[in-house]
Amino acid sequence: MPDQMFDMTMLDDSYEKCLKCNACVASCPVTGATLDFGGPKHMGPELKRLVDNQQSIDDERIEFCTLCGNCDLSCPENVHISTLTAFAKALHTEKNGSNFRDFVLSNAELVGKMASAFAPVTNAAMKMKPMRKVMEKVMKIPEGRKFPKYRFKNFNLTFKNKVTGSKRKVAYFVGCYAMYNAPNVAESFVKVMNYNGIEVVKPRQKCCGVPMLANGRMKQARKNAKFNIESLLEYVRKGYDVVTTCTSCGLALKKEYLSIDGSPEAKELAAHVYDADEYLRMLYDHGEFNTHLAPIKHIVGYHAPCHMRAQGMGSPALDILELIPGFDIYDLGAGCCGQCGTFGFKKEKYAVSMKLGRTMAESVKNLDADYTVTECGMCKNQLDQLTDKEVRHPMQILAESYEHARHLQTV
Amino acid sequence: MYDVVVIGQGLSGMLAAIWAKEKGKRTALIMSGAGKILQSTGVLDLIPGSDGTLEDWMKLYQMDLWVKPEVMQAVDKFKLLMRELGYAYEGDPGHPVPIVTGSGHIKYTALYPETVSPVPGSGRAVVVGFRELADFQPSFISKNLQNDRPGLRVSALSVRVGAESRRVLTQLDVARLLDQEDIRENCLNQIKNELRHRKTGQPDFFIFPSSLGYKQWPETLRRFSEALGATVTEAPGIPPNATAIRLNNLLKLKAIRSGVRFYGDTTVIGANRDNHTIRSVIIRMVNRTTEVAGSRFILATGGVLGGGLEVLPTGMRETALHLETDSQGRPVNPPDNLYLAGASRGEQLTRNGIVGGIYTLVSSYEAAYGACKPVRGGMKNA
Repeated sequence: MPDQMFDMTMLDDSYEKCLKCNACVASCPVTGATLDFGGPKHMGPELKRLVDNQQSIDDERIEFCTLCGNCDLSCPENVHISTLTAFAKALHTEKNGSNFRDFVLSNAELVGKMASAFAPVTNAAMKMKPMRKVMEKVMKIPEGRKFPKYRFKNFNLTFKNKVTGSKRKVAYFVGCYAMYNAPNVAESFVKVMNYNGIEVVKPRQKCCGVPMLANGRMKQARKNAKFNIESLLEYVRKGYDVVTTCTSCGLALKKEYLSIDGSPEAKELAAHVYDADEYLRMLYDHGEFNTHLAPIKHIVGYHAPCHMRAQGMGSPALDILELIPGFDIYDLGAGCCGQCGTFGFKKEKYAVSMKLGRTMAESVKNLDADYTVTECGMCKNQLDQLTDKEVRHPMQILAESYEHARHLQTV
Repeated sequence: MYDVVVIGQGLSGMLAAIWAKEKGKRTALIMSGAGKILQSTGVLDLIPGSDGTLEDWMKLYQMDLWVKPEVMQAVDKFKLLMRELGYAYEGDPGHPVPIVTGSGHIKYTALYPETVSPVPGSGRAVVVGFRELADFQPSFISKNLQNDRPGLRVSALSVRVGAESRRVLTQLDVARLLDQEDIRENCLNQIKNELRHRKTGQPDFFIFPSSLGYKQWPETLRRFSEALGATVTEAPGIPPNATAIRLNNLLKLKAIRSGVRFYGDTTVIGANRDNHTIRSVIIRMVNRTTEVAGSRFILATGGVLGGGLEVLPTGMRETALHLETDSQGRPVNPPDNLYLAGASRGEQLTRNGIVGGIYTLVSSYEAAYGACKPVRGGMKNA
């Protein structure tokens, strides 16, 4: 009964305010890169207006929507465009099913668990040409696309919190990427929080659901949302703040759950969710931030992930990193990186992904900094593929600065 | 936390933020949407819907004559900025020029980008459309232009962009396509063939939709004027106009790269005040309501069209800070550290409070200048 599901859930009537002004169309990165995409206005409010209270229409042009959220950022009338396109994607998948590749790509957590368990083998295999040729042929995963490495010592095995009983307490939503691909980011985050005298716990959690949403697997995304809301809310009610180091997870907990789950509990949770840099900036504003940071004399480029900008919180990573003495950081202003989560791993989207990526790579090249900083693991994947600069997470830099400061103190 | 907090991302907000940042102020820009540049024509008018002079304009806005040098200063500042961004604006508010719009009618404008040229009074003009672009109808446009400019011999023709598309093309789509050399040359060949076939002689002026290239517009413009051997202009009409998108995206990139912090998808719903100063604005983010503190604030939320003012049966309502306004929408006795830019000043010269680009940039300059002055209080609110 797919149609019924979409009628029941689509109570969103924000489309009525759409004036067809084209602000979303002009701001959509994918629309700018291909004429195969229907565009956010057609695929969102216009499609909804057409089918409201009527039989739903499945339009395959929705496949190119990455759910980056730039449409929502641009809409002067506050139409929930990306919610509408997320449901259009879900309908499309419901009617056509997901292929094996999309099913695998959208299961970031399961893949992470398995790949990290056999990490040396998986990493080596993903670099083998014959293997990649087969993957391209069978699964339509482009041979040239680099994959993030998986770590055998994932964060589940390395999590260590050294502060207990602090006034402010953090429930850390790790996310699949920091859990299985970049445990160092997660470890750095815990260190940074501990340096600020804050206790960190790791609640039971599942993938935030963003990769599922992006592949139209709405039901699974909702299941995960429900699980996470229940698990995290328990901590919120005990006085914990929920903090993320992945900007896509952050956006899911803050915004997507409000539309795909929509319960009062989703709302209650969302109000207590912070991006890691946003949280530190809040501490700074309250005079609670540990400013004992050792100088780092680097010139650095910053890439702002779409899902960071979609959170509407300014640029907290820049605000915090600028507190490190000698640290010179510049916003690249590059827009969308083109990786767009699972999007850039798909053969039929690869050209668009690379087209968007090249614009970003150009800005990295022009700035010619020592390295690049970004919060998003997927943006990092694209940066790793298209630029020769190292890519780091803000937490890694902060942890380094704190550790160095402590070292200087003890010497 | 910030020295200057700008509310609104239209032309006034973006310029005020860029200029405040330029003066070394920690600057934030809070916006609930992309701002109205995206829907504009990208040209800056003196008096919207009228061909009045700078003197008429100053009278309308009740400005004293001594302000004139400052008006020109603001205009020069804007021109300097746009030259620096590689998208120079020409023109002089002292001498507005006639340009053709996407409806074929003439309007007078003060500042316009290099892709736009004033319409001559005589000679041959050809309006060129693209078959795939429904928003620009050359025969309709040519007839309107012929009425407005009887001395000009106007004709129309259409060519194909020749790109396969799964959606209806906009002017911006065509602009991006014309960034590609092969598409550009193919269009030029079609135009030349059609003209050869018609044997009407060499045209002096070509009118295109606002689509003459997006990032590669200098090359597209150069190639078109060279190959057609005549002056070429864009006629901005139904959004998105490439004229406006270039302006918007370059200003935004400039603001981001110079370090202005953008709070997107965020609505200002009030302010915390101490006596007669604003301490912080209250913002509604995607997930919660919080505050952004600052020393000075610039209100650049626009008029009725921009959403800064709302028309109620009882009068006007200022939407962001809930300021008290007069019946026109002019804030009455605003806080000391608040500076008003653009249409948020509540000037109702046209319906919907469109104030024109020149007023926008002059008032933004004034607001940014006031918000950066060491002493409290800016220049007088016009």
